Amino acid sequence: MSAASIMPFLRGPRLPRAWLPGAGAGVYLAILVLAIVLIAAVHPQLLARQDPYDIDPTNAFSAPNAAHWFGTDQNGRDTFARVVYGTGSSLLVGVAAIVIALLLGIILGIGGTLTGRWGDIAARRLIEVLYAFPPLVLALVCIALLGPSAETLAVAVGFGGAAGYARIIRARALVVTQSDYVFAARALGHAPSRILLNTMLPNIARPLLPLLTLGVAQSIVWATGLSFLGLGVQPPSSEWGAMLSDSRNYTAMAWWLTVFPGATIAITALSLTAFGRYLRSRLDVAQSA
Amino acid sequence: MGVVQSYPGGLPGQEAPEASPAFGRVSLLRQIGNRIGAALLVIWLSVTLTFVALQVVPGDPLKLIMGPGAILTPQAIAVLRQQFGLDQPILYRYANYFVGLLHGDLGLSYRSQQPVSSLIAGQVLPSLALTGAALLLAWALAVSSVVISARRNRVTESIGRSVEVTLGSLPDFWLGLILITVFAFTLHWFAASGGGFLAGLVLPAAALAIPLAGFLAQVMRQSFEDALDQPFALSARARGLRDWRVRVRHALPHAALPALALSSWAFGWLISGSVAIEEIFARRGLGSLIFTAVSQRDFPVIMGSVVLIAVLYVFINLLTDVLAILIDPRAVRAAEGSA
Amino acid sequence: MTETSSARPPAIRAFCKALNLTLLVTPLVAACALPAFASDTPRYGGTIVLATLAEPVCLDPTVGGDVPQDIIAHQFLDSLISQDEEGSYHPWLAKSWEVSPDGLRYTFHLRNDVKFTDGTPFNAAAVKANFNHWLDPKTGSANIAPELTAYAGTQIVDDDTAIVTLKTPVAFFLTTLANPSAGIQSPKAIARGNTLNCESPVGSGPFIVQKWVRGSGIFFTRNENYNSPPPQATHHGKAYAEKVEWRIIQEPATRYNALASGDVGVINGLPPENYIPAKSAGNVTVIDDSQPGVPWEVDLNTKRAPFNDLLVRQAFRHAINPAVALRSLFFGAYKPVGGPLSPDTPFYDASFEHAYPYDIATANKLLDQAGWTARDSAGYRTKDGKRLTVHFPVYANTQPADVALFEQLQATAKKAGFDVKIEEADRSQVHSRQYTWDYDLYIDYWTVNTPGALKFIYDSEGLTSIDGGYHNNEVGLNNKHIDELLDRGEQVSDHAEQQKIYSDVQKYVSDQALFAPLYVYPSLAAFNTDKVRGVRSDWSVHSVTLYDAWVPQG
Repeated sequence: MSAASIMPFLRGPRLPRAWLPGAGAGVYLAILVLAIVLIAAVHPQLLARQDPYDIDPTNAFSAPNAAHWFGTDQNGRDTFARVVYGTGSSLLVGVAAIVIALLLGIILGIGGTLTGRWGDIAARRLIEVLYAFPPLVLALVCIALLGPSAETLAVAVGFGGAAGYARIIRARALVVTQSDYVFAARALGHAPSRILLNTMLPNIARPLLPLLTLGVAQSIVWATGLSFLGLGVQPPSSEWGAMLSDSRNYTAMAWWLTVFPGATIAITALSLTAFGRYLRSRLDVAQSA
Repeated sequence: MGVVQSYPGGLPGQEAPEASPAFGRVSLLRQIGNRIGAALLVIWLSVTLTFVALQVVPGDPLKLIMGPGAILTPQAIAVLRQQFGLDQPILYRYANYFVGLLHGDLGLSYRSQQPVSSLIAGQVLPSLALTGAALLLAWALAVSSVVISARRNRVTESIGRSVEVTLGSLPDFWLGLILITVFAFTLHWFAASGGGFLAGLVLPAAALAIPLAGFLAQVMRQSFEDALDQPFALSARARGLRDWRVRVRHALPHAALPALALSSWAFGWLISGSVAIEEIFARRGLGSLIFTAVSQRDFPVIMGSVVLIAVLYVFINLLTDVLAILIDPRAVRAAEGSA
Repeated sequence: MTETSSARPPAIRAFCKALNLTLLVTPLVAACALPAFASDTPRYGGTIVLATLAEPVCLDPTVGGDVPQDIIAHQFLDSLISQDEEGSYHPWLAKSWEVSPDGLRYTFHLRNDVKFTDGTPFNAAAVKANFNHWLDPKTGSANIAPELTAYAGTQIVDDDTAIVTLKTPVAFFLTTLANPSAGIQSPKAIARGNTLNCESPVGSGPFIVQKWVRGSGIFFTRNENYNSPPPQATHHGKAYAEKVEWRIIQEPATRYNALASGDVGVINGLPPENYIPAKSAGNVTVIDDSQPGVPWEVDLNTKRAPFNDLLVRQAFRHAINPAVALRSLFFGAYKPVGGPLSPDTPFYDASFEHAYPYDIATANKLLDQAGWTARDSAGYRTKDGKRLTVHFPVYANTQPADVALFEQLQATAKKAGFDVKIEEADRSQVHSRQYTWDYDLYIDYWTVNTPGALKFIYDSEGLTSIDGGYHNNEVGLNNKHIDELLDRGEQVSDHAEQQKIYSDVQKYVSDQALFAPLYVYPSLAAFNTDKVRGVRSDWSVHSVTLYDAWVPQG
C-alpha cells in the first residue's frame, strides 16, 4: 500500500475515515441516498405502504398530507408510492444504457487499436459518424423498431452515449498500447488475447469506473426526456420521467406532481455524480502514488 | 431532452492527443484535403446509416402518406408510389439521393409535398439561436462559478462544487416546466410563447444552459485548479500579479480547452435534442421537425435533417479546432490528431 | 355556443386579472362576473392572434386531410353551401340549387360576382375543377374523397350553372359540400400542383394566406374585396381584422397561459384542466360547443378473441366507468355519453344512454358465463390457460387527461379480470396496427352533423381496404341488415321513417356492445376579450371563425 493511501488512516482516529478515505459528509449522504434508491428498486414495498396502481378518482389532486406524503395524482394514486415503485425502471434504464454504451465503446475504441491501420481508420471514422449523427434520430429509430418500453429506452440512450465512451476508451487504449507494460508483455511473448485481457483491459477500464456512475445519472436524465415525449414505459407503470410527462399540464394546479419526481431524479443523479467523483478522486490518488 | 448525458471525452486528462509524428511535414493543402475528405465520409456514412435504418423501420410510408380515412385504391397507391419514386429499385433510390444531394435537392416531404430544403431552412435559425444562446449562457455561468470559487477556502469551494454537480443533475425539460410556470404563467415577466426574438429566448435558453453549465464548470474546474498549481501561475504570482489576473489571464485559457471540446459536442446534441424545450415554449426548431418526421415516417425530411446536422457538426468541429488554436497554439497537435 | 362573459371596463378587468393571480376570494369577485357595460361596437383594423394545437400538414385541406386543415381552411375558403346550427342548408357560393327526384342530379346556380383572390372568377368550371381536385389520387384526400365515392361527374351548363351527378343517391351530399374541406379553391391555383398549393392556396374567403412559417405560424392578410360571407355571418363586406396570425402551440399549459396573459387572443382546443379557470376568469370567454356525430369512443374489435364474444363485450361495458373519470379529470368540461351517437346529432335516440351501467358484479357474471372462469396470480381472468388480455394502441402524444382516463378504465376493468394493455406508440405504428386489425380497442370518433356517421363506422363497406390499409369499420361488423338500414336511411325522406331506421341501428350496435363511448367530443375554444371580440363557432366544422371577430381599441 502506498503512503498516499495510508495517510488518511494516520491522520484521523474517526472510524468512517477508515473505510472511506478522503470522503466528506457529502459522500456519506450520497451513499445513504443511493442505498435507499437501491432498496426502492429491489423491494419497493419496504418503503411504500400504498399500492402505486390503486386509483381513487374522488381523491385526485390531493396536496401532500400525512396519508399521502407526496400528494396524489390525477387518478388519485399515491405519488410517493409511484415514485418509489418507479425507481426500478428508472434505474434499469440508467444502468442498462451505460452497459450498452460501454460495450459499444469498447468494441469501437479498442477494436480499432488492435486491428491494424485500416481497422484503426475504420473505427475512427465510425466513432466520428456516431458523434455527428443526431442522437434524437438514433433514439427515435430505436423506439420505432422496438416499441416503447424501459428496455427500449435503455437501448436508445445507450446507442446515443456510445460515441462519447468510444472516444475516451480509444484515447486511453492508444496510451496503453504504447505503454511500457504492453511492450514488456509483448517482449515476453504473451499471446495477443492474453495481453488484451490481462494487461490492456484493466488499464483501460480502471479510469472508466467513476465515469460509469456519472453516466448512469445522465442516462436517467436523458431517458426522462424521451419519456416526456410519450416514448417511455407504458401506462400505468410508473417511471420518473413518465410521471413528469403526465404531470406537465397540472404544474400550476398540483405542483407536487412536478416537483417530487423531478427532485427525485435530481437527487439521485446528484448522489451518483458525487459518488462517482469520489471514486475518481480515490483512483487519481492511487495512480499518482 | 437535450441533456448532455455523458462526458464526451471532455474530461481533462482522459483524452490523450493522438500522436501525429508527421505533423509539420504535411502541407497545409493536404491537411485541408484530409479534412474535407473526412467530412464527406462522415456525411456519406450518416446518410447511408439513416437510409438503411429507415428501410427496416416498421410502417409502410406509402400507406401513411395519406391521412387515416383516405381510400386506398390500387391506382391511388400506384400514383403516389410513382410520385415519390418509390416504384424504383432500392439501390437506384439510394444512388439517386446522392445525385439530388449534389444538386442541393433533398426531395419532397411525403406528408406535406413541400421541398425538404425549405422545410428545414425555416428551422435552422431558431435552432441555432437557441443552441447558441444556451451555450453562451452556460459558459458565462460556468466561468463565473469556477473563477470565483476554485482554490478558495474550503467552504466556498465545496459550495461551488455542489452547485455545479446539482445543476448538472437537473433534467432540462423539468427546469423548463418550472421556469415557464414561475416566470411566464405566474409572474408574467416573459411571454408564455412568442414575445420578442431575444425575450423569447431567455427562458428556453436558461433551461438548456443551467444543466450544461454544471457540466462545463465541472470540466473547467479541474484544469483550472491544475493550472493554478503550475509553475507559471506561481511565477506570475511571484511577479506580483494580482490573484484575479492570474486566474483570468493564465488559468482560464487552460480550463477553456476541455470545456471547448465538451461544447462542440453539446452543440451537436442540442441542435436536434431540445425537442421537449421547443414543445414547452412553443418554439420551432430542428428537434420538433425530426420528432414529427419520424413519427410520420416522412423519410425525406429525416434524411435531410441528418445531412444538415452532419454538415453543421463538421463545421462546428472545425470552428472549435480554430478556437482551440487561438486560445493555446499548442493545441494544434491535438486538433490534428482528432481530425 | 354559450358565451359566458363579455367585456367590461379596463379598471375592473385589471382588478379581476390581479384577483386570478392571487386567488383571493372576496365579495368583489362578484364584480368580475358582472355583464359588460363597455361599448361593444365592432371596429375595423388590428391583428388577431390565434393559437391552435396542431399544425396542418398542408394548407390545402384536400391533400392528406385532418382536422387542423379543415379549421384553417375556413379562414380563406368559401364553400358552395352553408349549414346552420339546426342542420339546415343555406346558399353561399351557390345562390340556390335543385335536386332531381331520384336524388342523382344536383343543379347549382352560382353567384357570378365572386372572384378568387388571385383574380380568377368563380364559375361552373371552377366547381368542376374542384371536384376533380378532391378526387385526384395524388392528393390522398381523407377528408372529402371518401364522402364522394358516388360522384359521377360535373356538367358545365353555363358560367353560372353546374350540374353534379351521382351514381347512387347520397342523403348527406349537401352536408359534405358544406364542410370546409369542400371549400372552393381557385382552379388556377390548383393547377400549380400540390407543392405550391399546399403552401399558398387561393380561395375567395375573408382572409388571404400571406406566409407560412413552418413550425411557428401562418400569417393572413385581409381580403379587401370580400363580398361572399355566408348568411350566418353578422356583417357584410371585408372582415374586421386586418391581419390574422395563426400560431401553433402544442403544449396545452403554454397555450392556455398565452391566452390568459393576452399573448394570444383566441385559442382552439381549451385544455380540460383549464376549463374552470377559464370560466371564472373575468376576461376570458369560453366557446363551449359539443360536436355531433359519433362521440369519442373505443371501438371493440370483434374480429378476434376476446371481443368476438358478445358476453365479453358486454362485460367490458359494465366494467368501465368513464363518467367518474370525466368529473375528476376533465372538470366537467367534457360531457359523458352512453349511446352510439352524440346528443346533438339528428335522429339521436336517448334510450341507450344508460344501457350499460358500471357494475362489476354483472361484468363478473357475464365473464363467468363466457367461460373466463379461472383467475391467475395477478388477478386476471383466464380461459384454457390464456389471459383475458385487451390490447389498446394509442398515440404517444395523447393528452395527459386522456391517458389518465384510459388508466381509470384499465383499473376498473381489472377488477372484473380484464388485463387492458395501453400501448403507446408513435402515430405510424398505431396506424399500422389499425391497418392490420392488430388491436382489441381503438379510439374512434366521427364529427358530422348527420347520423350518416353511423354508416361511416358500421357499414360493411368500411371493412374493405386495399393491401392492409385503413378501414373505417374498426369494430369489424359485417351485417347485411345493418348495411341495408344505413343505405335506406340515406335514401328515404320521411322523417318518421328515418327516425325508425336510425333508432333500429342505434339499438343494434348498442345491444351488440360494439363500442364503449367515453365522452361527447368537445370543441372547446376560448378568447381573451381584452384582445378580441365577436369570435363565434362555425356550425359546419365546430371551430372558430374569425370573419366577424374584431380587435377592441387599445
